[in-house]
Amino acid sequence: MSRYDAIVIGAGAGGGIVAYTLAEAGARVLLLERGRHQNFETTGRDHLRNHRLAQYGHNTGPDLVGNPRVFVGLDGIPEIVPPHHHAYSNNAMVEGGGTLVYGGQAWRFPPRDFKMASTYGVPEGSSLADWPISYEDLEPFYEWAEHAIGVSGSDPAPEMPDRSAYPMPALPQTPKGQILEEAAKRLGWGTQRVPLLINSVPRDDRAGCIHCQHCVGFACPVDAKNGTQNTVIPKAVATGRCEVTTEAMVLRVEHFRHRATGVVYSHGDEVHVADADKVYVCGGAVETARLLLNSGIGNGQVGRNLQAHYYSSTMAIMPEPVWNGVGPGASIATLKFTHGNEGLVGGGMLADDFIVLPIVFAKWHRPPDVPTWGIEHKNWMRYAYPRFVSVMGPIQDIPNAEARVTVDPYVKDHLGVPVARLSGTTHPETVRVTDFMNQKGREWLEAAGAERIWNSAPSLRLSSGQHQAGTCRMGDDPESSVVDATGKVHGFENIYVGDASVHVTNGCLNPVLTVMATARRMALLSLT
Amino acid sequence: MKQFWDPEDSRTLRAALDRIVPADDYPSASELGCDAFIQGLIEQDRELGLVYRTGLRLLRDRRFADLTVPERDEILLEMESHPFVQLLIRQTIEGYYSDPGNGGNRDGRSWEMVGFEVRG
Repeated sequence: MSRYDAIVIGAGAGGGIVAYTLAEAGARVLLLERGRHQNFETTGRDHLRNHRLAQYGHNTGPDLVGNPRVFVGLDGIPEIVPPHHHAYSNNAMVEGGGTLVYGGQAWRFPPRDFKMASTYGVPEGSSLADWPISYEDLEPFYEWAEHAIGVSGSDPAPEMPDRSAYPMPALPQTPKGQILEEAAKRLGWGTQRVPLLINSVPRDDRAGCIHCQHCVGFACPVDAKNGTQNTVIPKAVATGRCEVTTEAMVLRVEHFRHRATGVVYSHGDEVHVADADKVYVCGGAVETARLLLNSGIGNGQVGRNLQAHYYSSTMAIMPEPVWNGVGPGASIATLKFTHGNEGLVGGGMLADDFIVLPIVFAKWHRPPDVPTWGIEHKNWMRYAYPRFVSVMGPIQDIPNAEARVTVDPYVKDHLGVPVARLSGTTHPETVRVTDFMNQKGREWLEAAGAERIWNSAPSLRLSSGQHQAGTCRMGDDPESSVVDATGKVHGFENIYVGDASVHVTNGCLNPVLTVMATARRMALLSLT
Repeated sequence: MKQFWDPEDSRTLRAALDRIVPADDYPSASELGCDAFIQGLIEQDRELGLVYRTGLRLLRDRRFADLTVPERDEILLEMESHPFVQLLIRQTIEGYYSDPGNGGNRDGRSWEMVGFEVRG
C-alpha cells in the first residue's frame, strides 16, 4: 500500500490543474486516470471515429466493450448504450480528458451567470439557483488559467467585464468571420474574436497553430493546442512530487466516518489500495457522481441537476465561396444575447463554427429538401461546402433536479462496478431560449447576405454530453447542494470535487475555462 | 477474410453505390473504393454482413445490376425508405467523404472536389 498527501481522480481539465496546484505547493500527489496517455499519432485522424463524429467509435477511452451506461429516454425505457453512442454522453477518457480533443473555446462566464436565480427568478419546475461564489471570486483564477494553460484572443465584447490582455494575439480571422463581423456591425451587435486555448504564436516551448482543420475531436499535430496534458500535468510531474498512473480505474473512495482514507483502484489486472490525507474527485459530471454514489459518499443531491448545453445552430449558404481552409475556424462571436432577453431566462452566445469536415457537413448540414443521394446530392456537396457558413453556440441550460445520474441497479462494467444511469430532461425554458437564439442566428446570416438559411427546431431532451455539469452542485445549504463554496463535500473533512460537477448552472458559454478556474481555486483553498 | 458475398453481390453493390454517388468529372463511389470501405465495416461487424447479404438479395431479385441507369434510379427511389437502402446510402456517403484511411475516398478525391485541403 502506498501513502500520499493527495489522490486526484481524473486527469482532465479539472484534475490536471488540481494535481499541479497541490504538487507545486509541496504535496505528494497520485494522479489516477482511467484513460491512456495519448499523442497526435495514437489519437489519429479517423473522420468516422473521433469526438466530433463517433459513428463507429472514438479516438480516446473508454473502450467500446465493457464500459456501458444506461440511458432512460423520454419513453421511460432504459437502454444499454456503448461509449460512442450519443446518449452515453461521453467525455474523452484520456490523459488531458476533453482538453486533448476539444476546440478550446476559452470563455469566462459573465457575472450574471453566477446569479441566475436572483436575476431571473426560479422558473416553475426548475432548480435554478445562484452560485455561492461570484464572478469576482473566480476572476483571479480565470486570469491564472488564461496564462497557465494559454489563451489567444482579442479584447472582450461590450457585454463582458474588462480583463487583462490574453498572453497571445487572436488566431486568424476567416473570410466567413469577416463577413459575419461586418454584418454584426450593420445590426449594431457587438462582437469579439473567439478566445481559444490554442497557441497563435510559439509559446511555452511549443509551436504556434499551423491552421490544420482538425481542432475539434482530434489531438493537435504540432501540440499547439493547450490542454492539461501538455501544460500543468508535465509541470506537476517535473516537481518530482506527482505520480501519474494512467489506465487506472478507481473503484471506490474508502472512508471512515467523516474522513476519506484513500482509494481502491484497478490497474493492470490488479486491484490496488492507496491511502491519502485528501481525495479529489475530478472524473467529470457523470463519472464523479457515479464514483461518489458507488462509494456511499454525499447526500441525496449527488447526481441531480445534470445539465450541459443545448446548442443553437443556424446554417446558411453564401452566394460566393467563403472557404479558405484556414483553421481553427471559430473566429467571431456575439455575446449580445447572453442575458437580458425580453421574457426569457438567460440566453446564449453565437459564433461561427470550427472547420466542418466534409463528412460532418454531409451528415449534419444537409437541408431537408436536398436529396440524400444521386447526382443532385453530389452537386450540392460541390456547390454548398465552400459556401457554407453557420452560426452556433451554447444556450444557458435551465436545470432541474430530475435530470440526473444514478447508478444502475443491474448493469455493471467489466470490472463489476455498477454503471451510470442517465435520466430526465432539461427544463422547457432551455428549449424556448434555443428557439430564440435560432431566430437571432437567422437575423445574423440574413444581414450577412446568405442566399439560403435553415435550422431545425429544438425539442425537449436530456442535456448532457461533453459540457456535462451540475451533478455535485456547490452551495451553502447541504439540503440542496453536494459541496460547499470551497468545493469540499458537505459532511466530509477531506473529500473535494474539482470538475464541472460543482457548477450550479453551466453558463451561457463553453465551460472549460470555468472548470479550470474553479479547480484552481478549490485546490488552493484546500491547502489552507 | 474472403469476400463475404459472391461476385454477383459485389456487382450489385457497385451498381447501387454508383447511383448513390455517380461519376461526373469526379469519380463515382465504387471508383473511390466505397465497396472496399463497406467490406471493411463488415469485417468488423458480422451482423452488418448479414444485413448486407439480405439487403443485396432484394436488389438482385430485381436484376438491379442488369438494368439501365434510369431504371436503377427508379428502384432506389422507390426503395428509399427501406432500412437497408437508408443504411446503404448513409455508409456510401460516409466512405466517400471521410478520410482516405477509411478506404472509400481514394487519394482524397472527394475532398479535392469540395475544396477541403488538409494542412498539417
